[in-house]
Amino acid sequence: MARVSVKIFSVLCGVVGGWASALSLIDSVGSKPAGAAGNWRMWDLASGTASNPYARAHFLIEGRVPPAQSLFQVYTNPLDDEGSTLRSGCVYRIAANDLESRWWSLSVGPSNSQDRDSSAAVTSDQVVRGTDNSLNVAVARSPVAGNWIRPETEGTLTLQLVVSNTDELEAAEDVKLPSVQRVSC
Amino acid sequence: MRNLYWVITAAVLAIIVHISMVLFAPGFLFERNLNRLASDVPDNTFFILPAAAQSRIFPEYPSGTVFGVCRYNLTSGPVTLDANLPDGIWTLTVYSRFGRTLYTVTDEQSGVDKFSLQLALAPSVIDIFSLKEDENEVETSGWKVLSKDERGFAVFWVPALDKAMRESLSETLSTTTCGKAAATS
Repeated sequence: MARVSVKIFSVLCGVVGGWASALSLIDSVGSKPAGAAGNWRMWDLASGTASNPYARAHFLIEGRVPPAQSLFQVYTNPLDDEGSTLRSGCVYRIAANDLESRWWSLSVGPSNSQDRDSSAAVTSDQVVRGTDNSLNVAVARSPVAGNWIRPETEGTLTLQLVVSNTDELEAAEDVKLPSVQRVSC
Repeated sequence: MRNLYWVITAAVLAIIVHISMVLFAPGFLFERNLNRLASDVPDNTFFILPAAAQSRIFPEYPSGTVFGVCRYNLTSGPVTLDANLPDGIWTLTVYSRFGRTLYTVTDEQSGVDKFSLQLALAPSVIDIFSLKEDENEVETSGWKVLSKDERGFAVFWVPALDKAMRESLSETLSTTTCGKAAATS
């Protein structure tokens, strides 16, 4: 009886251990810190032999298409600059000065396809910049004057920044990413 | 000693599960998800991704963005993608069925909004040695992408200023076709 228990325990340990370690590493090994400040992470989605299987798995396991890194760089951030988790009940101010790219999109996840009234993204085509070319976007459930992103779901949030790549642009690690400050909760 | 055997068994099992979770499971999960989203669309047919499906597989992109998809199947021969794209920013990415990037091109790189792209199975090692010199048809048939995987999908991305613009962009993009390539003599 004891031997059977050891066998079952070993098999369970192997399966659960392998599964848990994979889920954990998919997020940590698939991405790396981006930018000099803040908590942004970038996904290593190079193609061919340089491909990072953990980064690809991060997208595919949720049924999402991984963007081609030669076309887009994807940055995500689940924390504000103080290190606190982003929550839908709070108001955040996202500010950037030098976000230069042919096209970019800043959105808040997770998305909810049922909520058609939300405007959970701001793009470079629509954004209103300050006279000094600065960029301010508010993330809040209630309307805010200026650039505003309304989260589609309740609970914890993740900021997603998609930046289109061109040959002339600076390296993905050197892109000056926006700051994320909590205004109120 | 007996316990050591089961510890090693658990460790080997954990490694197998870990590798499967990272390398194989995401691709199969993704393919199943894509099949579910486009279950009524036959292979080698171009279609505009509906907004609900788009928010599930491309949640980082704003809802105004247009995605056109061709699920190709090369089992019965090469497939030709005749693209007709709106003037402005666009990208094309060809993926294998497990989400691996095979080819990308943008409006800046191509310089044209109408072009033909042929998708064909990559020749095996034996085929490479048996190819005749005049079988390189790249120059006469436009661009050619060789895939080791007989199934996959090509994705066109076109950003829109707002949701209202999505309709006109979809109309232009929907004139793109994807079908079995005409036999060459």
